[in-house]
Amino acid sequence: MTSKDNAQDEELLARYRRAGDTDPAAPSESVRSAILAESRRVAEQLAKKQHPFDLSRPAANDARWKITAFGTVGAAVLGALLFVPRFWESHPPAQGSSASSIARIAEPAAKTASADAAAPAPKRESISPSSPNESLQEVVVTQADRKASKPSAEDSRQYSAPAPSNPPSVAQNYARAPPAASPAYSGRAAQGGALSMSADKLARASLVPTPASLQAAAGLGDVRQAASLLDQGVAVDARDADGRTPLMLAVAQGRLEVVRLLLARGADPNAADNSGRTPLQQARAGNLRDVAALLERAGARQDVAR
Amino acid sequence: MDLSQETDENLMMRFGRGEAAAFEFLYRRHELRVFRYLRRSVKNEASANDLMQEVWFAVVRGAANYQPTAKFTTWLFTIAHNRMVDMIRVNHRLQSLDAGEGADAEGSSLLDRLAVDGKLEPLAQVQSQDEAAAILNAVSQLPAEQRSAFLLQAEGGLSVEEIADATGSNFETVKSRLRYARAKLRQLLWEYA
Repeated sequence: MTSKDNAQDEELLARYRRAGDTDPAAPSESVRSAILAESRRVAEQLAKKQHPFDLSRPAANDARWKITAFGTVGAAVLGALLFVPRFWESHPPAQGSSASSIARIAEPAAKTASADAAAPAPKRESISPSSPNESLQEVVVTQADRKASKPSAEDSRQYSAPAPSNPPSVAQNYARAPPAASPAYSGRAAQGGALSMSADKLARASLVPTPASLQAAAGLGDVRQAASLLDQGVAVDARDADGRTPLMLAVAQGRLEVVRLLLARGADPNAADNSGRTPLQQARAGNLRDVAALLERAGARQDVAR
Repeated sequence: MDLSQETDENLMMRFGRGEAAAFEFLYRRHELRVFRYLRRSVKNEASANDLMQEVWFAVVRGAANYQPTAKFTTWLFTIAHNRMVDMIRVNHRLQSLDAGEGADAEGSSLLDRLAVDGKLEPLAQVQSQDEAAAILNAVSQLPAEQRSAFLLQAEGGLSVEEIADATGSNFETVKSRLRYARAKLRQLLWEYA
């Protein structure tokens, strides 16, 4: 091919291209739109292939892991709420735990003791031997009031007296009285007293309510134990092998508080043991004037012979 | 970077990474050339539009696997040529296939050779039109293989070797087709020279 032929070829192509530029031939608009729409669709797919997480739609991508994370946490919390109570039901805390038991017992007592701390001091029982008559009256009033809820023929004796407007409870009666000269002690009594009362209640609850227990408590002068045993139904005049009643044992040991308690609970002041000896005879033989006076006020007679 | 400064191959690579704008720019750059090639090959507006959509859909869907081992235009016009041939085969409108015994290896039938000899009537038709219309009309009168080769060179800017690859022909055959096509066009357009 010569250079002339090449020039003619180039000139022919140039003429064709000039003619082509004047040609209005073009694809239809629908075809153009379809092509560009397809290109955008494929581009979106290709972009996702390049970036598994679509960076142009962070919220949409966040939702995936957020749903997974929050769903898992929510399921765990829901499971815990559903199953933990069942676990506690099948595995309750140890019942023998002294702390929890004391806490449960102490709760009402603490309320009572708190009320005591706030209440006027004269309402509390005084066991001071310096005023036996007043003390006896307080005890008699207290017991008479207690038994007013379950009256019996025995209770209708001379121990009846006007009931206080706010009768003290058993816990109040036998709680340790704080020293009157120590006002600061009242605060501790509201707490420590309540706890000690709870421990006492627990100890009393563990006692075996038998006549021998009552006789032992009477001889030792343990007013609280004796009261507890009586509350549990132990006969107040239960006798031992020698025919002695708890009252006789308390008189023999000079336990004025126990004597007062037993008389208030209806102990027979004229009962005699197997040798025919009465509590009043015992008191006089032992020169226990307070005890003898208490017995006499309860109806004890010197001339009793059984 | 300004997309107008990018080569065809880079634009295609960027589209393969999901940049729709890169493809749009590439499409605008080659839209009319591809359509003119198809339009003048099949001589039918509707068929050209159908082919146009098929060709560019093929380009779009091949973007994920596109590798710039050759010029983008070579790949593009290869697709266009193959789609065009497929359509013509289906419609039995490819004259060279219909020519049967009358066509030689260059796709030039006896009738074509006579035309080159200036013994046929189209020249009279060309004389009644302006030069542009005459040129386009002359191209449309080329035998299919010659026309296709000429259009691939004129519209796609492909070399003889690239045309040979695009059409699946050997180098010498393409060279011969182009020579016959130019000779006939010169014959048809001598009055406008």
